[in-house]
Amino acid sequence: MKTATLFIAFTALVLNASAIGKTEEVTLKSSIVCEMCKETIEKGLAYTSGIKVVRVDVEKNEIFIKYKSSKITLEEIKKEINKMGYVAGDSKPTREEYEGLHACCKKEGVLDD
Amino acid sequence: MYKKIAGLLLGCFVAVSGYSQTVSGVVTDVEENAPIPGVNIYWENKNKGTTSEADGTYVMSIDVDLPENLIFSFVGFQSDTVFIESPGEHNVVLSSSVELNQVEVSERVGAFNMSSMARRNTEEINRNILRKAACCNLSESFETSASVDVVLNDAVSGTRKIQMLGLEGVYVQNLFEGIPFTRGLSNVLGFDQIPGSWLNTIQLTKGVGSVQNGYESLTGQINLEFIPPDVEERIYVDLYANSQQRYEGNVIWAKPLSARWSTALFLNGATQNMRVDNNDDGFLDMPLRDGFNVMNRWKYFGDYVRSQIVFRYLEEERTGGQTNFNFSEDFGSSNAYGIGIDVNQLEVLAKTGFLSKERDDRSLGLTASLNRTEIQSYFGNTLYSGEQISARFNSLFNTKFSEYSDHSAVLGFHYLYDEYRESFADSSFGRIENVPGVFAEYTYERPRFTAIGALRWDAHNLFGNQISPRVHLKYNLKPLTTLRGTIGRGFRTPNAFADQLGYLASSRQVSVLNAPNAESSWNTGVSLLHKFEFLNREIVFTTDYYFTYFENQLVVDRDTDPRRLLFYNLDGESYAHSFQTEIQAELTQKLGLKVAYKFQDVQVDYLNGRLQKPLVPRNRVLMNLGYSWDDDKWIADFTANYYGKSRLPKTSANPEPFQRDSKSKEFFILHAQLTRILGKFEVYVGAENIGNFIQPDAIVDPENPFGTNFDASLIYGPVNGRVIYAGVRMDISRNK
Repeated sequence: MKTATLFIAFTALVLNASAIGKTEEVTLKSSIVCEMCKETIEKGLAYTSGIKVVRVDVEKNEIFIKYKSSKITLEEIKKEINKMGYVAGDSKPTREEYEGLHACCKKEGVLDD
Repeated sequence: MYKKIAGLLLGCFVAVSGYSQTVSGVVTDVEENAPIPGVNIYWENKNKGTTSEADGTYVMSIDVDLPENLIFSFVGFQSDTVFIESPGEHNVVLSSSVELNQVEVSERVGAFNMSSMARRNTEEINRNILRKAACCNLSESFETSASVDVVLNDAVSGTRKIQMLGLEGVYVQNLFEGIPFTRGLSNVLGFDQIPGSWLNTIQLTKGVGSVQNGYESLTGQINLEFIPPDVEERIYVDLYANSQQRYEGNVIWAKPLSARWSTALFLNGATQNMRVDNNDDGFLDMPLRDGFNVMNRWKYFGDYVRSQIVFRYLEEERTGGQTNFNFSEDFGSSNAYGIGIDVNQLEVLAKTGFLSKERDDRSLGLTASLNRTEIQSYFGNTLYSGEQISARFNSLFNTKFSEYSDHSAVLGFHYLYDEYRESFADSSFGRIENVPGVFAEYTYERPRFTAIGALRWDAHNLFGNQISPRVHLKYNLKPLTTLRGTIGRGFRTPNAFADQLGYLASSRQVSVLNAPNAESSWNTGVSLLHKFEFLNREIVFTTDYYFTYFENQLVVDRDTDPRRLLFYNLDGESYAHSFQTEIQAELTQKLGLKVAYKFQDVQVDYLNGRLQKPLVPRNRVLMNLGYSWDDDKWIADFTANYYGKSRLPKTSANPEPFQRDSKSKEFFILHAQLTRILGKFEVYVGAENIGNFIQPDAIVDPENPFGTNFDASLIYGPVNGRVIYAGVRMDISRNK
């Protein structure tokens, strides 16, 4: 009985802890065209608080991210990616952000105009 | 502003393959003076680039025809274009304000030399740091590094040895830009044979090295990069003289011949003719010396093929011993005790790299070296001579798993041939080593984390199969906070006499009790590097701990009997703990400070039980202050070294007047140097061992060197007093 109580208490604790630090996953379509883009994004997000894993798949043009939603929101992540000049799902970089990219990293049609 | 670039030298990058030429440096923010990570860096006319690392550093390979514009761009900063004429170090300052539209390229001030990004725990000693100690050869270049201790071998031959992690320098692998050199019998002169002013940078890596360079790095690697031939036409002259009439001269001429070919010629001559006996024991404190050193390197730099060949020859004669010793009259007699060491060495090193046209992550590298070393020596009436011929071939293939993969691998084949012929007193011996081997190294690299797992298999004709696994891990807790760990095995063949030649300077009866086996050890270590700002000043803190455990070692025993020098294979345990912590700070813009503390605990099981290894101080402290003013035209440096007590080999069985304390004295060594830069000229004056510390009674029974008690091998401190020196450096380059 005592063991069972302890077990329940422990389980509750674990569940509670994981709820605080809930890890979410997202895969964003982007505007990646080369190895350099991969490096820029992976290095650029490496130390962003709340982001656990960043993987850029050049061939699929996708960014896979694991993050703690308690520390950073998806919108904030998208803004960070935009800042580097890249598309993040439905969020696009500004002209100034986009122009900072090397010619080879500029994917056509990213900006609407 | 490009003038400064011209003064810069080829950067400091140990490429995995070691074949590509690079531009490297640090990108910083002009306002905050902080490194900028993630800056896009690319060649103007090529669709290839890189980004700066978390600490602002970048390395860009040159696969374009120079000169070419290199573009630095980052959101919120003014993009900048740097005109690159030659490989080398280019530090870039980006400005966020629109008005300041200029790039500043500046030479890095040498205070900070630990990389947050290197995969292994590597300390870099660049030319700025080498300047802090003027003279003259590589062993003296480590005066301002706490990781390496430079110790005299004996009281008479003047040969210096290094110690790292509490162990002798023979366990450290020496590399010439990635190719192992000065192995085997060349250890007799050790680093005395490499002129310091030939060097561009020294990279000192603690812990077991990469499998790519062979099996011999048991405790560390020292990679030497010499002045490159292809940066610019350049004539460099360095002349040195000291108060004991030691003269050294260096001339280096580097010349790019065409866009692809370049060459450089290095000359060095050294002589010391004054008979100095400051401690009045009747023996020369430093031997009389004559030597010269020549090197010629050629480089070919093609689009897909890059090649280098280096020829090196050196000759040196040393004569030491009693001040009245005259070779022609006294050699072979017992009139006066003399020591002579003559060394000559010829070495050819070659390497070629082939880059893949389809995949820029793929390359094939081939290196080969040939070496012949000859030693003739006498210690009183005891003769030792040796000859070594060795050949080495290494090939390595470097590839990523797929084009955009984080996984990469290096596969290689290695072959070593070593032939030794030695004679000592009246016995001759020799051996031939044939060692084919294969190796594989796997690297997983992410922005914050790097793991390298490697395995070597060497089929040694004398010692059987040797398996050497090695693992290196690196994790960046923060962009400028790096944690590293390593574990690995290495082995080498000991050379009882050449490794410890100075120990023959005694009347000890030498016995090799059993046939030496291969020496092998496991080395493991962790290190932490933390860079931070405090009161707006950059501070670098490093701490590391290494443990080396020998599976087998050729034990050198001077303890069991003070009249004997014994060599035998380890029976029991032998290990070394080494802990070091170091802080470097820029106190003001002009004043840099470095303080380091090191603790070493080295123990060996001798015939009569376990003892602290003799002559290894348990505690050591180093402090270096560097001050520069008047636009760095004046540079002053002050270095203080504290050496704690170490155990001396037992002399209690000697007759009473020839007994020594069981422990050494603790002592300080102080150095100071002042440099004045006058355009292409630099003038320096300095003093070594300002406190004039001389080990008291360094030689046991110096009156009777042919008697049974004579021993000049119990050396823990300098036997040479204060030395004042002066010198001049000239650096003439066409492009200025």
